[in-house]
Amino acid sequence: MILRLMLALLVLGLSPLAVQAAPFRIASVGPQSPCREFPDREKALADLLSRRLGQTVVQCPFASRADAAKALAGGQVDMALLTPESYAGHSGRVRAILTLHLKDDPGRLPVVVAALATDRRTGLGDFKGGSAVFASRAPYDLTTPRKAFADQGVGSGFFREEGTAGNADAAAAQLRAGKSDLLVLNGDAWQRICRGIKPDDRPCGDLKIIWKGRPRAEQAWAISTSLPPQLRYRLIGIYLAMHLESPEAFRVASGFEPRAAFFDAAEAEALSPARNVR
Amino acid sequence: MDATRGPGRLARGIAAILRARMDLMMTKIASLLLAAALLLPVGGCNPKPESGASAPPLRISMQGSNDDPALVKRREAYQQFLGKATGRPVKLYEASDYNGVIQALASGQVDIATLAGASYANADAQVGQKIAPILTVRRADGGTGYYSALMVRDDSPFRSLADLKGKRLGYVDFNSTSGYLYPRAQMRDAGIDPDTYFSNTAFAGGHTQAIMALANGQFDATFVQVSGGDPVHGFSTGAVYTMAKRGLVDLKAFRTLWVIGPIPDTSIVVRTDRSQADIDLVRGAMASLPYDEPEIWSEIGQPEGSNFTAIDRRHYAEVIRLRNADIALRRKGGAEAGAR
Repeated sequence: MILRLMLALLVLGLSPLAVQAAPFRIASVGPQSPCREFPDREKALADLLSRRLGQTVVQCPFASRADAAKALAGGQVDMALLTPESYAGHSGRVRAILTLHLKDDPGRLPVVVAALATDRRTGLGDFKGGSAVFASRAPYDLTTPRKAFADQGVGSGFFREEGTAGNADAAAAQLRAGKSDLLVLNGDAWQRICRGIKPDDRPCGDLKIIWKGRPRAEQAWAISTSLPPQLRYRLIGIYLAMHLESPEAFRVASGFEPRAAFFDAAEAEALSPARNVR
Repeated sequence: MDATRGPGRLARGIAAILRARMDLMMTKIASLLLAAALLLPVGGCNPKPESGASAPPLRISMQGSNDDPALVKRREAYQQFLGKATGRPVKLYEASDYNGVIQALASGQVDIATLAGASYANADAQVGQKIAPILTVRRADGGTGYYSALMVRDDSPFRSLADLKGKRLGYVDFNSTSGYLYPRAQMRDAGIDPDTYFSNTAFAGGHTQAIMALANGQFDATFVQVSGGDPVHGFSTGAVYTMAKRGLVDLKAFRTLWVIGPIPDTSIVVRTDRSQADIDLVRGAMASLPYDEPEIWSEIGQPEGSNFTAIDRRHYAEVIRLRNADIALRRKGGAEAGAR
């Protein structure tokens, strides 16, 4: 009896296995099958996550991203790589947590679109056929805002005229001079030109923000919104430093994108497919 | 034959005693194992973070003056956000000078600190791998550095570094990256010995104090940190901009003679002897701040297009090298002066 108790204590009480919760299930795309161990070529990722989470990590193949998203929303898996299309319809039950930052890419910078405060138009859609001025041709001044516009349904041809001014101050000057209807800046530049250098300075007091947001993520790691926040933050913490701490695991985790540089955190709605502007 | 009598009975008696002793021994072993199972620290085999109100507080230290509203806001925001994210009470340890934060982290009095490069290099020299930088801010253009500006009063006759020969130079602090370490290295690269070029050098104690001393005429020039931009687009943050915005100085009262950089920016540094689960949790929570709370991120003075990116000790390799070189040169200079 006592020997049995000892064995039970050894197995259930002191073994590292004792404190392991249910396996952490990561969806993958492939011939659908029950959850299983990661294949040998992807072990580095499973080993890293298993060690850091204190849970066995298993792979759960689904026929498509849409099926994986459905399984994530239904609690059959804990994490999945989703696209805006597969995410659609699961908002509220599923949220993005990580995106992949690509080499030589500005990433998902916030974009600010402003007009003169006196302009009666209030939404981006009101400016169809108008003109927009960007700060410069640098990717973070032009490519990123254009991507954000496209996500909102503001594609090429939406504006009658688009131009670049050379820098943020010059772009703002064009708006103020009536040479453009909209000023388009990355959030950093907007903050810089609007900060002021004296108390009560409001250098952008004559402008109003028409739209502000980040470009939508093309792909993002997503989890169920029911996952405890602490586990969400730990996953972000592990993935964020993966390229430094375990390059082999990073190669596995980012294998879908050859230009992968590192992971960035993401807001819940990073995959939101909403297109607000017609 | 009565089976309860004779040698057989004796043998059974001995066996019973042995069994009883064995049972007692097993019970003791089992009790010890049970006690061990109950007392074993959770972190010992279960990589879960500490959490809950009864968990020990997370202790943070950030260098900087309470006079800077953005810094006060930043401290409070980090405290609140980390408290919410970790489920643990977060205790702030304020330090008015660079060394206070360095020593608090090096001695293990705090778990997390924000340190600029030279301060990290100092702590690294003291405790090595017991600390590690985990996050730094990456700006919209992808850069992770800030700059050092050599400033003079606008009403002064100084137009270049050459004009400052024999004049009074103010440094920020021995542990300042932009206000001491990088300027000295860059001056040496320009063929200037920073220890003999000026008539007098002194430490102001902080960037705000350095600007005030320059404005008051105690220094002819000073090196201070500038950020929120670059030499091409101009700058918008740093002590002089913050002070101007608060009405303490007029930005037009100063002129910049020289800009050095980019310099690896301040980072969040953790004690590595804390649980890996806690470190992962803190890194993930902090990295989520600009995405989960973009308004707060902006309010605490961080550039809107920026976010946190992961780093490790390699990020500060150049800072560590420059600090070691500066110390070696000063020691050599001191020894030579002593010999003379």
